[in-house]
Amino acid sequence: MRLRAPGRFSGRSGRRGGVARAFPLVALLAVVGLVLAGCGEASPYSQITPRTEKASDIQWLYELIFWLAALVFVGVQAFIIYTVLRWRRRNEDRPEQIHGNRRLELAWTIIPAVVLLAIFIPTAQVIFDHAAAEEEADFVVDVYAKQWWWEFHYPDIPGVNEKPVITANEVRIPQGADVVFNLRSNNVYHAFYVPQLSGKNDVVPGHNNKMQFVADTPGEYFGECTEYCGIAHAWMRFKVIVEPEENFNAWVAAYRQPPPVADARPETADVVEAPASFGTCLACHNISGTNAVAAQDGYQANVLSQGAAPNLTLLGCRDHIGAGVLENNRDNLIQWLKNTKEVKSGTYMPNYYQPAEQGGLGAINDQQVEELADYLLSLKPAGGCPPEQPVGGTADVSLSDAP
Amino acid sequence: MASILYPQPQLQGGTQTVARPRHSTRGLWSWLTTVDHKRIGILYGVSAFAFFLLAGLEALVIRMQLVRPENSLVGEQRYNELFTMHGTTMIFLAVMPLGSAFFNYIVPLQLGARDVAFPRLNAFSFWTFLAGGLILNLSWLANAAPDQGWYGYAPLTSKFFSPGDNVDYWALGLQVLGIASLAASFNFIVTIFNMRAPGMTMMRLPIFCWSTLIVSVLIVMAFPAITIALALLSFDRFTGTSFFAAFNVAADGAIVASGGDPLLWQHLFWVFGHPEVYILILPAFGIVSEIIPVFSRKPLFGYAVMVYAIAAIAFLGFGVWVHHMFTTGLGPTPDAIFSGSTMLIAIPTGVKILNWTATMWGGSLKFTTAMLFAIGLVSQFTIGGLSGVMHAVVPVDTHHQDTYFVVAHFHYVLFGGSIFALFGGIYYWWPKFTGKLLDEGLGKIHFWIQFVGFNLAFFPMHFLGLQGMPRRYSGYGRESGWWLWNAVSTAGAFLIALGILVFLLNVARTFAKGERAGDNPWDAATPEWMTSSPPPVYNFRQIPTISHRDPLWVEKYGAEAHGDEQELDVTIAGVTLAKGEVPDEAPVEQAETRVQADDEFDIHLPNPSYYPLLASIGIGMAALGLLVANPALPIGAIELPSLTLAGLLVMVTGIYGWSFEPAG
Repeated sequence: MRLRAPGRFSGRSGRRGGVARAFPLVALLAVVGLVLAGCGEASPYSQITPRTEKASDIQWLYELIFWLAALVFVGVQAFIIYTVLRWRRRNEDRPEQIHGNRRLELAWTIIPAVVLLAIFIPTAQVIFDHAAAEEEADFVVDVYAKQWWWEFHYPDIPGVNEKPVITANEVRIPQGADVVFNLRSNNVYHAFYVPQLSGKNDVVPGHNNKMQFVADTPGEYFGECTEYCGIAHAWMRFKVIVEPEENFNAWVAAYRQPPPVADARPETADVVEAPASFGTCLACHNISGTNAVAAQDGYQANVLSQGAAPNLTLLGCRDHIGAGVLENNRDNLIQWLKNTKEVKSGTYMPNYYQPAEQGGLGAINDQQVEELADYLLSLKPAGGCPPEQPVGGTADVSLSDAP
Repeated sequence: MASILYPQPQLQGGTQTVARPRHSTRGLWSWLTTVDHKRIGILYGVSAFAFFLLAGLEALVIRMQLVRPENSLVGEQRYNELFTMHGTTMIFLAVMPLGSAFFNYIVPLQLGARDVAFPRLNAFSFWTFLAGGLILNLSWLANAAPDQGWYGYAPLTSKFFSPGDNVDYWALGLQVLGIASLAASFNFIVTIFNMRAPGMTMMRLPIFCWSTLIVSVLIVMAFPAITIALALLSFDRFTGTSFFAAFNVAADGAIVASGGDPLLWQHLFWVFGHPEVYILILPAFGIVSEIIPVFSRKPLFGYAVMVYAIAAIAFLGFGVWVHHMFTTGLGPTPDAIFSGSTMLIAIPTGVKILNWTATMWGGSLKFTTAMLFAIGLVSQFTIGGLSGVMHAVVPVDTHHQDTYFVVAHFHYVLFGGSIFALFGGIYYWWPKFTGKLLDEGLGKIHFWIQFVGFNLAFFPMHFLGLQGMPRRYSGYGRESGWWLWNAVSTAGAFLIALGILVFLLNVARTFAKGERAGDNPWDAATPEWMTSSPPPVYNFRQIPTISHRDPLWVEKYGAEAHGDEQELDVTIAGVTLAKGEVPDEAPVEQAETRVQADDEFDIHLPNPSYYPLLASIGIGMAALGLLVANPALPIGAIELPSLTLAGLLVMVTGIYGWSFEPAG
């Protein structure tokens, strides 16, 4: 029977030279090589420069599947390209009519199944390992995802006014902590993603998802919201700062100090008093240590009522404002206060500067804006901000050597 | 040898069965009232292509916005509308109906039938589809374009977070489109089971008909899930229920648990949404399975396995929806199970890729434009398939989910797969539609520009994904390092647009001075080429009798040269699917008579009807009444929108008239 003629498959030799035929293969390999040759690395959000054991586990799986896929890719493309070049129409003869080959079809059903099993086993292993690790973590951070910023609570670290330490958009973790983030939202979906430290987890309203990792390598790690959450989804960035424990403790101690409000703190050269206009801010923002805590946080904070806004304690040490939309400096703070909605579309913060006819509240003038900017920048520990950590962590710190 | 399964045509000596009035084939009215599957196919094709161009323009604006960091070509709100409408339009208004265009035009011809089983229902499907598409896009005029993503995750879609009409345009537009898809699918299932020519057993069915049949079954099973989800969403939005909201805001501003769960939406949506992916790709597989054998001059390698592979993909497609939800925290056990089921899909898909290549192996390959697009699918879809397996590896997927790696993946599937095959189908069947050939020179230029542009636009998105760039970001800062590959991708997108322009030029040129094609320009094998190109309104003067899968090749080159078609005896529930009875009539004898159109020869066909159009207009009005300002009609304590009531009245009138319309 013709259809069982596997000899046909070995075929006759082609006429084209070996070099010409090899060229597409070389080109394919080059393309494949490009992927690992750093194309995905040059970013602080890179998925393939892991800085934790957990992220390294995932990277290991990724490389396994990547190379298997690359092998299949090159094999299949070579098969296609070879076939296409080899069997070009050269005459009007009708080729032999082959309707199939059961053995061959069975083979390319079974072989992929075996390969997939080889992928599935380590996959399941890592899934269950990572789930188990969530239960063991002991450094707890509660994350409340907002539209469009992040609130972080350290429930086990007392702050002031019988509240835990609460901060926003830049979260500090002592090096070596086995940290678990409790991910919560009372509004819409978000996703908590710090590519160098772990894969992402969705923040599902009404659920409490967890993200665990051991913060081995000191550094500043960029995080981003990766589940579409409305108009300013692109501007819901955050940072995880992994720093030596003493730096972290110093920051917590500074957090508990009252801020530079009048008569609350000795004057130093770079500290200014809270301007009177700051009282308006305290309707929504909190600063630990002041008695003017009006705003709610966590689940109770409703996007449309009080407490919708980031905690401003030690704001002067943050690198960015507006969840990554601007660098934190005097000019940008002024710009934020004067053009709030233009800087960040959709933000719930009203514009206090522009007159009513431009959609603002017209409550503060140029001079007050500058005073506010100066004051906000002065919200720092008396001894200065904690030392900066390298962005993306230091690549040369071996994970197993980390404390 | 007539049987119930294969009714014989009653056409002895040219006597007519039932007289029917002449169909007008000119003028707007003839198009509005047509029930001819070929004209409905053309209507589907032209409107879907218009929507394809619109969604393509939306994509260009998206790419322009992302071409450099901190760009402000469009604002965040407009950007969010653009990506929502790009996705929604491409999926529901371009790729699905372009598939429908081929179902409509080609399937009855391939079956050797005169029309679909329910020609007026077919017209109704098209007009309802158009109504749904117009409702969705009217949102632009109301400045309320949907902005919640094509997948509309609750609770962002709630009245609280999306107070405008944007979500309602989307939900009601999709509901209307769902009616169209369901009606069309029932029609094609019945048509394929009942309207096959004598001798055409299920295992002699042209493989495109198989993919149509299986896609129709997928639609019938998947669309109810989204119908329910959208209905519940509309209840949440219009009547204050909270199926999908975990929290409500009390009058005093306090947040209270409301008992709903946003995860419910995701389950319902993806139980629909994953089969939807196969609804988009399986017609493409069918088209490629038709093109490759013809230009290889060899029958499809492993026909039976190819059929089982389509069925297996479709079946497994209902068991993998959770792989869209690996990051939602369902727990390790479901994650592992759905990881395994997702990997399984790679097996039948891989078989298809290799069987297509094996079809070419040992063949005599002619690289027409249609063939290039088909080979393009085989090659490019493989890339999308492989990245798909990567996403089945849950820990890796927690990185890839919602980044540009996924965007790259599904564009390799839906552009490198579906769109390539649809263009292949257009080049392949254009002579069937118009009697003219598209220019091959321009066609090849089109293919190569599009091929290069496609890879330039979408391959760098893998790199962007690895660089951690999330989807649906309206902008990015310089620190991200995402500039280079975004710029490359944008250049690729414009190259694709250039390719499409070449195609449009080709179409215009062909209308002006296209080469006459002849009835079977490609030496194709399947029954749609057994009649003239374009076919007469009644398709076949005499219904062909089918003795082989590739009847025209058997007829031309002889059964012996064609070889054994490897028919497998498959009996399911007492019905033998495979080996059918071979009718006594030899197909060769019919060759002359069936292609000759003969005006004296009257064949019973259904009358044109405006009732399907009326019913569709009614449905469109009913949906619009909930969206646009119109006088409220108080009925008891409830105020009902008058336009909706009027629309329902028009719809009922249309269906009533349709039911009692006399047969032609």
